[in-house]
Amino acid sequence: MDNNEDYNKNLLEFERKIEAEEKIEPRDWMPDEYRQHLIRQMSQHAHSEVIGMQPEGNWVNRAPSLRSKKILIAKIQDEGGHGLYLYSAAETLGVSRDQFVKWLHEGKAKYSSIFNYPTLSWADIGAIGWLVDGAAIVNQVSLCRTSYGPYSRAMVRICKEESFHQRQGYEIMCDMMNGTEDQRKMAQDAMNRWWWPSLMMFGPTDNDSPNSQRAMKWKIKRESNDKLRQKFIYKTVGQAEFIGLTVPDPDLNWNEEAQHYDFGEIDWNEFYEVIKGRGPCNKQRLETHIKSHQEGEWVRDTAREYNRLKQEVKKELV
Amino acid sequence: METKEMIAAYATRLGDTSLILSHRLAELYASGPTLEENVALTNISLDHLGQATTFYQYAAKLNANDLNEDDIAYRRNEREYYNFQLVEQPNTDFAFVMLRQYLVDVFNYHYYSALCNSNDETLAAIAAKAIKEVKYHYRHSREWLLRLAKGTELAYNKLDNALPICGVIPMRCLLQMLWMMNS
Amino acid sequence: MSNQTEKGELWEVFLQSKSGLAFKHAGSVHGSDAEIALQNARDVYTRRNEAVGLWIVPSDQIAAAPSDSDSFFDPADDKVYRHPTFYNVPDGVKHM
Repeated sequence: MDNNEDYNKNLLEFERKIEAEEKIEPRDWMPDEYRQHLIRQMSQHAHSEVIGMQPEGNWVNRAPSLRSKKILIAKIQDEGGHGLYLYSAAETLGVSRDQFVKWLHEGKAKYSSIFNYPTLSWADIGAIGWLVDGAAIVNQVSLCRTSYGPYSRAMVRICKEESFHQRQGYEIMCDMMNGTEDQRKMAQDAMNRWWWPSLMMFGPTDNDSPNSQRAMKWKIKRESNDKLRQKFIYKTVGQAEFIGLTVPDPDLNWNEEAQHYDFGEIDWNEFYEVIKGRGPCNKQRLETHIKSHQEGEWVRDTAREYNRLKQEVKKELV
Repeated sequence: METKEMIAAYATRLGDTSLILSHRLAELYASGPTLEENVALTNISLDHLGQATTFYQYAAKLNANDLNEDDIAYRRNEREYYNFQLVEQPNTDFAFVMLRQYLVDVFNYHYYSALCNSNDETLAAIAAKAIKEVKYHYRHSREWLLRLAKGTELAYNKLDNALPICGVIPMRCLLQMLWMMNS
Repeated sequence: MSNQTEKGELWEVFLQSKSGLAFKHAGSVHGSDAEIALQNARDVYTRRNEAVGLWIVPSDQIAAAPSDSDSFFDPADDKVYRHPTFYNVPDGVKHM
């Protein structure tokens, strides 16, 4: 147990590293709250990637062309891979993936609320790639500079792979907006349903975000929720206008003086309802994950048993 | 002497088996026993989809009509697909999925190896690329088959139950094949 | 069902991006044995042809030299992670 003097020395060194933009690595001393915050954030980030495979997977057997099917499968696969990078980084803090999954199944861990919305048409696949991945990119680019080494390295890896996802989504929207009247309607409908939830991905406003302050102090978080949300709006509105999509916000307005967009009020009621588990697909998403985990138990068991038997044979031969 | 039509039909048939198998594998994107296995299964699915696409593109080229690979893939009625029936069976459990894959991989290994010597340059080239992928798939399905057959009794029984669907006789024959390949 | 990763199921992954270059740590991967872990590592870390060489090592087999900040507490601790065994968190513990 560290005594007070050691604790202060450690804390000073930790804070010096943070100030100097040096990374904190798994073996370094860190305040317990820092470690707890990261355990929660990283594992929930991993869960988000994995749950995120579901809304898109919904359309994998209905992709309208060989190329679009290939791209969608590759994207879903990437998301699984991103989940793996993040679980791997989270495990460096001494909690196993089994434990993370258990917390998810028990409802003690969350994942990004955006994945609790249904994918109702092929255009949704476009909207998700363009808007949802677009928002994720804004957040993840910022996180590349996060103070915890393994998390930062995972983010760099993920960012490299993410831009293809956004291009895929936008291309679908472009094609539809350049298509038939029905296709344009479908694309606009998807836009109408995914725009606001995408803005909600950045979390509560800065004033309503109690965890943010500490996360910023420790440079886990590098930019505020509102700032990141603005970045997303700034880069996305132009993309929407370019292909003739209407942003479903009558209050959206370029503020020349402030050099940013003014936009309408987010429905925070909806935001909190979905977080609390009362969104359109919360139940289904979790049940699917639980079911597949349970059904895979016998396979994991036999792989372990095979290995155990092999080890026994080896011991006997020695 | 084969006509262009015959070769196009042949290429389409090979494409069909790859396409349908790819489709079945893609359905498993979130239901593998581990997250790693989800990545592996979608990987195999993508490889088969790639093979199907190149076969269909070749068939489209030979047919020299207005139809492209998407038309061939999507716009025939179900009686006009010539895939092996094995690959269209619904995914039941992991034992079935791996057994099906193993049988397909062993078959493809020998089939594509022979196709590499085809007089048709395009088919030979497609086969040469596919062989690399098949070897990787084979390694994967073989290792899983060993773990299913030589792990727990429950797994062995599930594998045994999967055999009739694959239309193969006793487990022992299969195990003999495995031992041969294992040594 | 086990509540913690079984010993020997976590592996560290090292990639060689080009022939002649050093192997670099890329992250970790799960696998019930070396063969499965190797395939998993290939699928997860080399999907975009990022490597010509791939090593995996069981995480608990790596010995690490103490870093500077370690001198304040246990200098004999030579495992890669600060907490070499995984926490077994009892059911019912909140906010953990």
